[in-house]
Amino acid sequence: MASDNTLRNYSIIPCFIFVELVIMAGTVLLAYYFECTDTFGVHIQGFFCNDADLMKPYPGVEESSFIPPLILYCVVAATPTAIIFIGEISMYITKSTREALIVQEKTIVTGECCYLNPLIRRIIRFIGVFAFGLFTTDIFVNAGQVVTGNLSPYFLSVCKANYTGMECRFTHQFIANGNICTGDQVVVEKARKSFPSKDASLSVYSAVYVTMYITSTIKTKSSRLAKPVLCLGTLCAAFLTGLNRVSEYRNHCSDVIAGFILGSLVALFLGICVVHNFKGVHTAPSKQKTEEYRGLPLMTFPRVESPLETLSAQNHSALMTEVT
Amino acid sequence: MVLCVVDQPKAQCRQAHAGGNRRLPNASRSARLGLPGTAVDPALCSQSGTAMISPKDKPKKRPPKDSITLLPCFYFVELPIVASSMASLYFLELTDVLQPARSGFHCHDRALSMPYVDGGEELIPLLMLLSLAFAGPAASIMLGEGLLYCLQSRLKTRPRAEGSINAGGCNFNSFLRRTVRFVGVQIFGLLSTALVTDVMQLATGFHTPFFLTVCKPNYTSPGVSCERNPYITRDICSGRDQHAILAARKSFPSQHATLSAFAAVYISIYFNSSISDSTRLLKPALVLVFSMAAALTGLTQVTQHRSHPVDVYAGFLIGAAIGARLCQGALYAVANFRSSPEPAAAPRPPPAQQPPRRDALRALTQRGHDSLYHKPAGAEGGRGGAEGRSRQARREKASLGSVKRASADVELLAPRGIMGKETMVTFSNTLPRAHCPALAPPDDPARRPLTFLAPPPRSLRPLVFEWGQSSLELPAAEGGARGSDAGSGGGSGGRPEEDWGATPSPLYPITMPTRPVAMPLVHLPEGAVMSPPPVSPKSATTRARWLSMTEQGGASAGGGASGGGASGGGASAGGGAPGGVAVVPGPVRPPAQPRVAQVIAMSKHESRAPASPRSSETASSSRASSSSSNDSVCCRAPGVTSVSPAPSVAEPAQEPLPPPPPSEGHARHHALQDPPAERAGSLERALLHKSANQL
Repeated sequence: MASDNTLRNYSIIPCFIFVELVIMAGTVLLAYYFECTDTFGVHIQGFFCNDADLMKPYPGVEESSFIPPLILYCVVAATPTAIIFIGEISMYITKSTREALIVQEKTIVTGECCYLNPLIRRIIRFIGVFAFGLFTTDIFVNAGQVVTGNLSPYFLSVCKANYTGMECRFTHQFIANGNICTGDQVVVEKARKSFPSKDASLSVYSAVYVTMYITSTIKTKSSRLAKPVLCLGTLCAAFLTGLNRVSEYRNHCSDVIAGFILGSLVALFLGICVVHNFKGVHTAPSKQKTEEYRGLPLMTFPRVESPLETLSAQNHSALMTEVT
Repeated sequence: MVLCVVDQPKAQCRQAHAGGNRRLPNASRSARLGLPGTAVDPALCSQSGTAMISPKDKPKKRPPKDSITLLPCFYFVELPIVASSMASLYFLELTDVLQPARSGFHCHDRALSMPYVDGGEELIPLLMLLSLAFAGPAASIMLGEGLLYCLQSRLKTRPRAEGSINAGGCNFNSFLRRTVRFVGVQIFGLLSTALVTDVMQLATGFHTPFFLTVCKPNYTSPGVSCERNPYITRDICSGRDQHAILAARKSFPSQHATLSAFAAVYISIYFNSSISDSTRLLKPALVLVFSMAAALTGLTQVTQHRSHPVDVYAGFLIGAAIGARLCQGALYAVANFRSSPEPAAAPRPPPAQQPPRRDALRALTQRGHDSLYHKPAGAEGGRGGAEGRSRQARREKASLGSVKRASADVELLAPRGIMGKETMVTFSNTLPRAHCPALAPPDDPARRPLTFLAPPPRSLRPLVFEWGQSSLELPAAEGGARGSDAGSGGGSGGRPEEDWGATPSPLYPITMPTRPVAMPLVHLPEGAVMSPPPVSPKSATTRARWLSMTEQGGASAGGGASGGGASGGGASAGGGAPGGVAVVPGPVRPPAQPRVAQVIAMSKHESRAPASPRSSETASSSRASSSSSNDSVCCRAPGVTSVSPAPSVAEPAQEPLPPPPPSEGHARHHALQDPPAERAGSLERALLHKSANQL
């Protein structure tokens, strides 16, 4: 029975190293370039003269926010990882779910020494896909911010635009040349990156991912409310994170909504199409095998013959006594 | 030279027939060439080739399908559709045949007062967008399909998803078909998306953000007053650039957004279905790269003030919907196609269709039983001795009951698998082609019950062998009590039984490993009993013992002819393997129970009924193709067949003259020992043929 669940696969480690790790490294590198360097110059967006939408007060640096970015990133990255860890280990420890798990997943034997049991495989897969999605969401958000160059609500307060030489008589006068700011360059650069909201997309991404994981793996029959409380709690936290950005005048409402949509789309795609609703990988082939049952020749299931043999053996023993 | 000339046509045939459908043209072409030695009669070629080669090619390579409608459908349906959509797209996009709907605007609307980015300074012009949206997915699809094709032809891991199709003299393989299908659907989707977008833009006539910039409305024109009615419906544009004004009237939805979203969704669905799950991150990486490119393409339209954000979002939705629909359609077409050419997926006959099979088998068994029942007593008494006929009948009836039940069970349990078909095909391949009459079609309903294949599990084989070792007194009993049997037993009588025994799956003998006495009732194949260890037949001592035994049997009762047959059989067996029944590896015990010997002799007679040279030959040839061909019993050289006329001399004395229907042992062999249909059919036919000869 144990040998039934092992699968000898020599391509999983090279595949992991040469494909997954390379892709992951490229993603992380791109995210790093977007976040920490100014390799990609932001698009200089114009604005209207004295646009009321851009003249909200400056709420201060990001660290003075109600939800500082450092804490947000830590929570967003750590909470799903911890939940997946705990969930997988508890599933593996619990006897009933463990058997179902072992049916779904096979232990992979690669080489002579390495046994990858279902627990390790599932943890690596789910957390790896989650990390990949986190970095991808970050890249999406940064690319969108850099390309659009949408102005944040407090742009004009930090820009302190020098309107001299421009005819700013009408409010519908569009100033295409945005480089008339006299304020702090770093803050102005920051104020040019607004669409979509990074905090909103990251938090919603991790919340949706965790929600999908919880709903599809944890099956508690005893308590009906634990699962929805957990799921809705995370979703509500993500939602409030996005709304906090709007209330602090750090983002427009459309930015936050776009961030919500982006994060949830990435999480849904990864959860449905890549990890297949957190199910095992070997469920589909086994189902096919049972479907092909009738078409197989008799040789493959020898047990079927045994009733026939016992029957004929009985007949012959009876006949034997009759003959002799 | 003669050999060469004889051989050359065969090679030609093989060469010609390997080509599947084009064999006759090839053959006739080579005949027309008139090269020395290659002068082949095409008729001869096809005659012998259809018998011997085409069944061999069949399981290996599926012949490409012929399609008459493929090319006309492509030329006259798909190409006109694409061409017409392309022409209408040209008229809509690049000419001003159709004017967009007129819609008004507010005075000094800030949303329409964005600066105008000229066409030359555009980040992604329309033609670049079109070429990118075409080239990116098409290149990816071609690359992916090429990789898929190479991997499939290299690894042969799974059956090819699509077969080749012959149409119009060309062979379209799966790579070509899939690529053309996916790229063609993508082109069509791009064109239709652009058409839908253009039509919607013309129908809505919304203004782009740079409308007031290029329009330069003359608010002082008569009849226009921004104070009284700020919504202006009249055309008061004073701008010079009519082309820009026309472009400014087409905004909803954004062309860039629809096209890029279509391309991204199309290629994403394609990747999602074609890239396997063994790499977790390759698929999402590709998908997200494409979708990010599409999203950024749409967003540049917003940042360059060429579209409102609403236009871009709506364009994303429309393009994604069209892409999903078309790519799903193309993938469904593949999925639908995949089910048709695979014979494995063909629905099995439901159990309701099986009663005719059972009836045929029952009839066969009944016939055999009847023949035994009404057999003239002389035939039996000659060999059976003083055995009472009533007892015989009773025994037969009882055993027949078991046979019936068992055979019914076998029918119920054994589905007609693919294996059965394959065995039949290979079997017909290995048949002697020279004198064999035309094979019966394998799906002859009368013979279908014999087609099931029930090889025993490998774990049971040692049991059989062990039993064969433990029942060593049987051959000795035969050797002693055979009388007239022994002579022919060496030559022909023992041969078919032995051949039967070499079948890979004696289903029945497994049931009674400890009771060799019951053997006559089952007509156990003696080869299974006597299958010696692989070393022993080669040893000289065994052969010597065998020879002495046959000689002794022949001298005891057999005539000169039968003795000659025995010695002939011995000589022939000396080449490959011992052919007689007496191949016993262990020490031969003296006959222990006379009745057992008697019964065995009777059973030998019954099962010798089908013994004709042809049947033995077919059986041996079938065995050669079976998996246990390296077994010593199976290694009988074809030279055995040369001896076969000898027993036919001796046999008419033993056999009743009227055409004997298949004896019961024969029928039971059919029912229980899972012979392939061909073998059973040929045996039966051989039996009839032989009886006709005797007549």
